[in-house]
Amino acid sequence: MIIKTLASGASGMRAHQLRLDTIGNNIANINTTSYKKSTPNFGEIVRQALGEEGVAVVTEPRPESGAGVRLISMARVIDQGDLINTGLDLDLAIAGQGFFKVTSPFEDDEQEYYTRDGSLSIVNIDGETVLVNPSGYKLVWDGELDPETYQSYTVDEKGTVWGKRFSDGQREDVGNIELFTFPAPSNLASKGSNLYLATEASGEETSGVPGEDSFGAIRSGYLERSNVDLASEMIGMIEAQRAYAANSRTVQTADEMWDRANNLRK
Amino acid sequence: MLRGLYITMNSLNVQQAKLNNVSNNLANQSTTGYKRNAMVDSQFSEALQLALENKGPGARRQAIGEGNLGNLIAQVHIDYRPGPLTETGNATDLALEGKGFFVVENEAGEQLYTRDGSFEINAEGTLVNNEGYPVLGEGGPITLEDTENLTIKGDGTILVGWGEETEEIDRLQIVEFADPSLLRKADGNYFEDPEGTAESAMVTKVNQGWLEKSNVDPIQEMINIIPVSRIYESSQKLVQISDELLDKAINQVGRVK
Repeated sequence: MIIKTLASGASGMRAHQLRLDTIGNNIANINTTSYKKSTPNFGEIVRQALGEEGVAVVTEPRPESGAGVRLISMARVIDQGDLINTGLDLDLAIAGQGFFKVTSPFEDDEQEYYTRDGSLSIVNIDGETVLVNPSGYKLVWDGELDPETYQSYTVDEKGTVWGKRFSDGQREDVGNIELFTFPAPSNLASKGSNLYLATEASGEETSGVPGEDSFGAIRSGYLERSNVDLASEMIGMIEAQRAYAANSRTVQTADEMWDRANNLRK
Repeated sequence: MLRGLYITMNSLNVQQAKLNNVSNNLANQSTTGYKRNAMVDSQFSEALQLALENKGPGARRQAIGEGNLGNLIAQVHIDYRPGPLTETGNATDLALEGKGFFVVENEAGEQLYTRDGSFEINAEGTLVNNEGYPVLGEGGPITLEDTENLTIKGDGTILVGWGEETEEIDRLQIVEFADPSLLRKADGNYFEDPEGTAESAMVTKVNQGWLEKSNVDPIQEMINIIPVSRIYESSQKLVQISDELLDKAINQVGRVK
């Protein structure tokens, strides 16, 4: 019996520790471009009928008691973050549900990653000029950059990349950036560095033109901020910390009761 | 004499079970839609005491009155008071105002009832809860094609789309129980209805973008700990006193010295 009380208290401490960890991670990423916050979901642990452990109870109906709390799932909240102006032509934000697709710069990694972080830059890899994200992952699109011909590039809200020619300063269509949506984007697997992988739970990608349906328009010169709301995280932190303390108090009381039980006989 | 020991043992066990209940409630302070358990103890129904009138075989027994055998746990009831609603802004987070429940279906096809409305849309476009169980509408599981413009009205009607293209998909199945004390809790955040008394909700309102928090009041639970630990302490003292009395009876009464 006492061990069960200790276990319930410990499950509560563990759950609130996890909640605090999640909040800590959300707050730490408040300035991470396009970061999506997480929240844990909890449920009560299986209920047992009282009486089996020797407690005197009414037999019909036999009362039940719970055994603490367990984590059910970690939910990622995929709502839109605020767009902030950066003024850089190759900073792209998505106003909608789409993701960019990127591929790894490492040869042994052939997976396709998805990201909403559109702070792109132009780099030269092995003689090839490509668009990469801040971690060096190559953006997947259907055009090519030609540093000999174009001095700069802009992207419009439909995802069309326009190159500005050195020769006459005119712009021309170089290619298109596609966006990808998922039936259940909150189930994408997070791989760090703002990258996500498609999973069975997230469903298959659907590709589309930015600005159409729910893909969302591309906003050049903007970046999407994290969707972490500091005020609600701070309130959650107070709740989690106090709940942790309350659970540690039940553990302490159980400990004192055990001590008394050990001293039943002087 | 020995009865006193057993009565205090009951008391120790009952206080222990009560602490376990408080501990379970406090552990579920962050559980969405959690309803706290309240434990009620009462007296053992009084038992008759019998006296032996004549000694020897064929003794006739006669009742001489009633005696108490300590306490026991009479009931653990679920406290259905509403928890506070908090805004999350997430379109698939739903909170109920009123005494209704959402209906979800587990893998075995059983219907479970819950107040936890932290739902999401899965890879097939079905509205599911955080354990992946489909949330039932009036026409069974709810599948949404377009998830961007999802509106759920106060009466549970699910609308998808913008302006003139708005389309009504289904209506959430929300049930109420005339006597919720007939419900039993199941593992996770669910309630079962063994008596089959669910009725369509009349007065429950759905709030989209909100969640109902746990209805555990930490201050009340902390206060509940105080008598638990003090009664445990006094019961322990009573065990010690009974022990001393037995010691006297056995080792000192009738001692020739």
